Amino acid sequence: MRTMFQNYFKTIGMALVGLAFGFAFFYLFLNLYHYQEIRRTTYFDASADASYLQLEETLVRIENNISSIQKSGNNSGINVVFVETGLKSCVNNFRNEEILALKEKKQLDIVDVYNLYNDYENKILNDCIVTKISSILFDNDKYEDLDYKKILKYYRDDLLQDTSYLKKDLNNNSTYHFSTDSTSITVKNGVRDSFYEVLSAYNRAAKFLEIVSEWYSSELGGAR
Amino acid sequence: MKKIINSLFSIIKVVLLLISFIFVFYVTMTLYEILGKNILDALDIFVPYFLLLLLLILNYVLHQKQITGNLFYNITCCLVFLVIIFISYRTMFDENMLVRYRSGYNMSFYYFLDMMKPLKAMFYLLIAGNICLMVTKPEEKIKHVVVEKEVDVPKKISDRKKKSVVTR
Repeated sequence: MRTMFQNYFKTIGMALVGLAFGFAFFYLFLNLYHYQEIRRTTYFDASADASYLQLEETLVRIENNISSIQKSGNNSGINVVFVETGLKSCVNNFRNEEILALKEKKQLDIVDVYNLYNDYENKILNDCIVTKISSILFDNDKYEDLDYKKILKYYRDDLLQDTSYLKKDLNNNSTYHFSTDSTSITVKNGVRDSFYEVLSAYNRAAKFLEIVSEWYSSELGGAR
Repeated sequence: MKKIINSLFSIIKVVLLLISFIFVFYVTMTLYEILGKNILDALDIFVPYFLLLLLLILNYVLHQKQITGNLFYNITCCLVFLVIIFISYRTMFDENMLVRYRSGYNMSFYYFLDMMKPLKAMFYLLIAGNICLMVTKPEEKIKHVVVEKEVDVPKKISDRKKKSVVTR
């Protein structure tokens, strides 16, 4: 009887240890695999990338529009210095450290994409679009009824909502489980896809700034 | 050979237990300091460590060969502690885990807390396995015994007394 109980306890004990062994291996391999997955990189060549070159060209056109604004002699009632300073400051925000660093980089990892997105959120959306451009365009009651301004307002609101999901997706790279295919695909392709999402967002914001600069350039006169 | 490997894993098991405890304690202490909570609230994370350490000490003190000599148990313990150390390393030093930047403390606390739950389960499995094996008897080694026995041989074959060897 005693031997029988001892044998039972031995079997149960070894089974429990076996379970712990299986779990330990499972979590070890899960973490090793995740460790490898979030180290994926994507190749990038700034001189040959269409999105990056498009952004550069848009910024050059904005700078040309700013330089064509007449500083004096216009009767529009618009504070020219305020407009010019705001637009130039916005262009400097676009030419931030992360975007300029892309010229030197040949490979991008998820941290580069995250930093690029953070700069977009802080410098482009919050500082440039919401603070500077909105105060230039929409705080002036004289031009409140213009349809063009209404369209720009919708464009601005779209930009603010556009990439709000992206930060959540990027942060999800740290919780990797075999829950759904979409989670694993998001982690695996996070670098390449997220990077081009952020770069497209930069391009759309630059386009918005170009429209604003073109409008002021036409309002405030001067040859192009 | 098996004895040497077993002794090696026994020593590594204790070393890894201490290292993993240090890592887990450091991360938990940092987290609770940030949250402004008392470290004693995190006692449920450290209780399995103390229990397992107590059981390991008991195994050695009471010379329980069924556990200290169990290679599978030693390897499993080493594996579990290795997983904890790897998870703690990733919590503190893996820069590609973006959740560490969200809080701004350069540690992936969410990841650590997610992983702590299954690790606690593994600890309790090891503790339960240890207790179950304590009740059992250690395996007895087979002893070869030579017994000399006198056997009467029928007269037709031989009149000589013959010796036979019996193994028990």
